[in-house]
Amino acid sequence: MKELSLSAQECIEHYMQKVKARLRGAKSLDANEIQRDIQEHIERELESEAEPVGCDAVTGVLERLGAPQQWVPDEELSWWRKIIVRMQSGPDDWRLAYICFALFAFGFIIFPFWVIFFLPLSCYVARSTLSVAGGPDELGEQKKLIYPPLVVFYIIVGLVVVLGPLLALIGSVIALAEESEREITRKFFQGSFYYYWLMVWGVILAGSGLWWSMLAGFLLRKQQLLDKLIYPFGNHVTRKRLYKLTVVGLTLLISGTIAGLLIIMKYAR
Amino acid sequence: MALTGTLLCYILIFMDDRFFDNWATQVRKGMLEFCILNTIRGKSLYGYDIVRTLRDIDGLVIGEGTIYPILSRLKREGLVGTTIKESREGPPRKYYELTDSGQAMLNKMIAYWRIIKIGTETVIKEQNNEGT
Repeated sequence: MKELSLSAQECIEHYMQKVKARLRGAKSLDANEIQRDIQEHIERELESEAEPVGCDAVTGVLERLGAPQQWVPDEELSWWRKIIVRMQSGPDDWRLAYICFALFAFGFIIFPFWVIFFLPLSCYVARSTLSVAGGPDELGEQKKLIYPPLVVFYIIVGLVVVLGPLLALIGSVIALAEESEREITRKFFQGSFYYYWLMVWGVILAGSGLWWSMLAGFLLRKQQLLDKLIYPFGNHVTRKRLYKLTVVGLTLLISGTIAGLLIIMKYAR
Repeated sequence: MALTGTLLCYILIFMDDRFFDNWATQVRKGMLEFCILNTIRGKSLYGYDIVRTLRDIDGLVIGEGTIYPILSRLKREGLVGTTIKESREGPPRKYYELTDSGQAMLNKMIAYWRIIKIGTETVIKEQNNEGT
């Protein structure tokens, strides 16, 4: 393999990214084989070049290779992908971006259906646009129309994931605690509701902490999955932030557990 | 009036170009498959060597990258087989060769090509003679 200059590497990377984006819609093709063919072709073409190979030489090879789209002929794409590809022929083609924002705005106007139908739909169109274009860098100003539905959708889903189980936990623990309030306070807390409820909130605190630390731990291990799920904003959920969430979770877990145990040890009979 | 004429002229030229582009693309598409099969007739060739052979034919290859997807499709259709061979210059290389059904298909294509070529040239010659 010839030594490439940084700009030459970037040129190839950029080309490969576009090919990969196009390959996403073609399951009948062997993506690895195509990428290998491209790599081998480039290597053979650059054999006679002096090292480190510059961007000009690589650009020439890539131009002779032709547009990245041609590696996946139209007939290999699924029907829905064909529609999307036809509506996003390049950075100057704004049709998909307009459709995406129109769905988002229209759904917002007829609010009840917004969250369940139009928001996911506009989000899907936005992701498809990003995928067909080969990444956010290729979209330029179109991002202003494509990002709003994505941001709103990711925030809603994020809140549901982070707070949803917590609210469910609070609801079920409080319901259970209320049910057995009289019996338990009479038996173990000498009739004191105050310490009983302190203990209940200790349990809730520990449960929340456990959920957040588990979630953060999982995301730390599966960062690539997270990047895919919230594409193209994966870089905003950094490892540092996930560590912070882990620390918060563990702190809540430990303090909730200690508080609950102390109350039980000190006040329960 | 002159402006309308110029505009009309541009539209006609544009339509002419578009028609020619579509026609040339269709011709090229069929011819490329035909030429790829002919290139590997009786021998096995490395993908890059097929590209190198075909890119020297004027007007046939617009993007060198079009040849590899065609090779993959011919392979999926069973007309072409591949073998991986070790290479002294790098990683193992994939060599393409005609399968039996590929050879049979190529024979049919060559026979058809000869018929159509003779017919087409006769028509062109007749028209040229009438013109002169």
